[in-house]
Amino acid sequence: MTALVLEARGVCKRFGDVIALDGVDLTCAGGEVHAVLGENGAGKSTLMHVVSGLLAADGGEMRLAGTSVRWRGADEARAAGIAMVHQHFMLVPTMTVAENLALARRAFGLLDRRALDREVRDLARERGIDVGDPGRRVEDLSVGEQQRVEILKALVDVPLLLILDEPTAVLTPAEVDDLFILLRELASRGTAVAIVTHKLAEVFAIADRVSVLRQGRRVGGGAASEFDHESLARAMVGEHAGAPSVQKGRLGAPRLEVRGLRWTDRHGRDRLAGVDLTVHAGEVVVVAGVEGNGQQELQDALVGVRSEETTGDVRLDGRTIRSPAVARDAGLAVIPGDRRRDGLVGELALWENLLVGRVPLRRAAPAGWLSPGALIESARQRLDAFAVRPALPEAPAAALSGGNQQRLVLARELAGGDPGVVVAANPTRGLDLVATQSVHAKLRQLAASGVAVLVLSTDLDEVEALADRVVVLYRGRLEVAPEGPIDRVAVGRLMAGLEEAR
Amino acid sequence: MSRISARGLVRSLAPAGAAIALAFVLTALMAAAFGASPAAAVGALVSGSVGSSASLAATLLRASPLLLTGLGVMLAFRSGVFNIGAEGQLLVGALAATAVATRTGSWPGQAVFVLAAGAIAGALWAGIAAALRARREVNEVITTILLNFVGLYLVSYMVDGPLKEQSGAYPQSDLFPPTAELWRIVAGTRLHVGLLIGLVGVFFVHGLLSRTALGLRLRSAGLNPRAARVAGFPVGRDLFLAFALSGALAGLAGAVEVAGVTGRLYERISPGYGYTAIAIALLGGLRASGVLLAAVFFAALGTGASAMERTAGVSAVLAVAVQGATLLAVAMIGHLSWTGLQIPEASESESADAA
Repeated sequence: MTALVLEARGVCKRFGDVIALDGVDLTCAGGEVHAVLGENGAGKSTLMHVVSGLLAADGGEMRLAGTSVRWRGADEARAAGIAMVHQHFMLVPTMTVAENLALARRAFGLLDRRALDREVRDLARERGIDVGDPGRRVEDLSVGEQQRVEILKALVDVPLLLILDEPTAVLTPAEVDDLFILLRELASRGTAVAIVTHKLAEVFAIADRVSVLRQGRRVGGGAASEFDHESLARAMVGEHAGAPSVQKGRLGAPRLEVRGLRWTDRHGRDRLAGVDLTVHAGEVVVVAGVEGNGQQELQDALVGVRSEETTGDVRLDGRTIRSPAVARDAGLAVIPGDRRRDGLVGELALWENLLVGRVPLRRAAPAGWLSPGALIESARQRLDAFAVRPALPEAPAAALSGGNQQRLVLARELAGGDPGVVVAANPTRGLDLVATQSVHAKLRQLAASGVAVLVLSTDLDEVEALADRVVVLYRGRLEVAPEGPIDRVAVGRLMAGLEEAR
Repeated sequence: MSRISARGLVRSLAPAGAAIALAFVLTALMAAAFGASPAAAVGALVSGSVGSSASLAATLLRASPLLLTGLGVMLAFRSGVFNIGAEGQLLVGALAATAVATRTGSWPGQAVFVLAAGAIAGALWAGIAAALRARREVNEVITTILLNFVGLYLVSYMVDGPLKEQSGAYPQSDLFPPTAELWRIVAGTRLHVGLLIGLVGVFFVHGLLSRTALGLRLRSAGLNPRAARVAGFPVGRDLFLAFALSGALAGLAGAVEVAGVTGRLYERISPGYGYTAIAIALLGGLRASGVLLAAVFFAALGTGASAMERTAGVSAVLAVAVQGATLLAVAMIGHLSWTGLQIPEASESESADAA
C-alpha cells in the first residue's frame, strides 16, 4: 500500500435544507486511481468541490499528506497540490494552447511567444501529454484535445492529487481509451488520481479503488477487484422493494412518433444517433438515462426546437413538428428538464408565468387583451390546486423555491386544456415524496384518459413508478429494456452503457 | 388595472432621483472649477429650464422628441431587442415627413400624413436591422449603429439633392406649407401637439406591455428568449413587431421635430436625440412613466445649460459635461440595480409591470 495522499473523514455539506453530503469518507493514495461512483445528485461533484477548495465543508476533516487542512479557496488547495479538471473546461477558446497555459501559470507582463511555445512543448513532453502545436487556438481543437490541454494545465506543477469530474462525458470511445492510458501513466509516477463517474464500465476499466455515493452518503467501496458489475450496480442504485403494480391503460393509436431523429453538434459528434420511438395513446413511456446522453437534444427536438443539423421526423397525431408553435397547437405539453431556462420567466409574476404558453395565452386573451384582475384571481385558484407556496399570483417566479417553481410549471402545462401528448423531463426533480407521488398519479391519470406520456428520467425510482415501457438513451442511442417487470439492475446497466440490448 | 404601490413607485424613481441629485452636485463642482459661483450656476440651470413659463415651454418642446425616442428604445429593450438605432430611425422619419410635406403640395389634413410617413419610415428603417437579425443572426447593436450613419448621410444627400430647397443654395429643404405644420397648443409659445402625442405614447407603450398578449410575449422574449420559444410564442414575428414599433416611435419623433419645430429638414436636425434616448430609457427604469420623467429631465438640462451660459457665465460646454457625467451616473446606478443591489422585492402585490 502506498502512502495516503488525501484522507477525508465525515465530510458534510448542506445547501439550505438539502443535505448534499452526509458524513462522507474518502481516501486517495499515491499511485492509485480512485473512482467515485454514483447517480446524478448523489453528491459526487460536491465532494470533489469540497476536496479541491471550491466549496467549504460544513463538517468533517481533511488531511493532505498527513497534515490537517481546511481550504479557504481553490487557490490554496491548488498551491498545496490538489488540481482539478472540471467537467466544463476552463479554457479561453480564442487563445492559443500556449497562452492558456501561460494564464494557468499566472504569467503577467510581456510574453515571448516563441519562448512560450517552446516551454509548452517541453512541458508536454515531460508530462507525457500530447497537445500538438502550442500555437493552435483552443476553439480549433477537438473536445478530446481540449481536455488534454486542461489536464496539462493541471499538471504544470505536478499535483499530489488530480481530480477529474466526469472526464469521459464529452469524449468519444477512442478518446476515452487515450485518457485512461494517460491517467494510468500519471498514477504510475506516483500521483493520486480521483475520477468522478456514473459509468460502471469505467470503474473496471481504470480504477484501483472505488467509492460509491448514494444520496450524499458513502454506501460502499473498496478495491475495485472486490466488485463485479452486479454488486456495484446494486450499491449505486440501492436495494428496493418490488415495484408497485402499474395499471396499464388500454393502448390506443400512436400519438407521438419519432423516426430517424439525428442531431449532430458542431464538432461532428452525434448527440442523437438515429432515434426511433413511438408513444401510443394511453401509455407512459420512460426514456431512462443519465443526462448528457442526448436527453436535452431529444427534449428539444420533441418540442420542435431543432438545430440546422437536426434531421429526422417528429410527428404528433400525424402532424410533423418543426417548431414549438406547431407542437403546441398540436396539443403538446412540456415539462422541461431545466425549468428556469426553458419553462419560466423568473422576473415575471406567477400569474403571468401561467400564461407563458401559446395555448393558455390564447385562451386567456382571445382578442389580445389581458385583464390582470380576473387573471390574477383565476391564477390564485390554480396555484392553490397545485400547492404552489406561497400562492401569491403577483410575486415573481424567481422568488419561489425550486420545488415550487416545478409546481408552477406543472400548473401551467397540465391544468390548462387537454394536452394530447405530454413530454416531461425529470418532472419530479426537486419535489418531496408526497408531491412526487401526486405528479406521478397525475401523469398516470392523463395516460389513462388517452394522453400519450413520454417521460425522460434519470431516476430509477421514477422509471419503476411510471413506466409501461422503458427505453434507455445512452450516447444518443435508444436501447430497449427487457420485456416484463422492470428490472432495476438491467436498466441501470443499460444507463451506464454496460451492455447493448437487442 | 395595474396598481401602483408606493413602494414600487419609490423603487422605480430612486435611481432617477439619485442621478438628478448627482447632476446638481457635478454642475456645482464643475462651475467652481471653472471659476464661477456654484450657486449661481445651479440657480441658472434651474430657472433657465423650469423657472418661467417661457423656459418651461422650451423644456417641454425639447422633451417631445426625447420622449418619443425614449419610449421606442425602452419598448425595444424590454423586448430583448437592443435597438441603438433610434437616431437613424428618427432621421429617416424626418426625411420621409419632409418628402410628404414639401413634395406633395399643400392640402388639408396633410400634417397627419406627414406624421404617418415619419412613423412608417422609422419602422421600415428598423425593419432592416430586424430582418438581418431574424434571417442572418446579425447582432442588431452593430447594424442599428451603422444604420445611424447611413441615415445621417442619406439626409445629408437628400437635402443637397432631391429635397433641396428650390429657391436657394443652402443644403436644406423647402419650408413646410402651413397645412403640414403641427398645431400649436399653448398660445405665445412654440409648444405643439407633438408633446401630446408623446404623452399618448406613454399610455400606449405602457398599455401595450402590461395589458396585451403581445406585451406579455414581448416581455417574456426579452427576459427569457428560450422559455418564450419553448412556449411556442412566435418569437421571430414578435421581434419584427418590437423593432418596427420602436422604429416607428423614433420616426414619429423625427416627423414631429421637423413639422413642429424646425419647419424644414437640414443635416443637423437632431442634436443626438436618438442617443440620449438610450440614456433616457435606462434612467427611466425601462418604464413608461419613468421615461416621461427622464425625458423632461434631460430636456431641462439642455435648456438650462444655455441659460447658465448667458447668466452665470459658465460655458454651455460645461452643461454637456454635466449631461455626460449624469449619463455615467445613470449607467452606474442602473448597473448596481441590475447586479443585485436592489431594494428588496415587496412580497405582496406589486404593479403589474414591475419587471
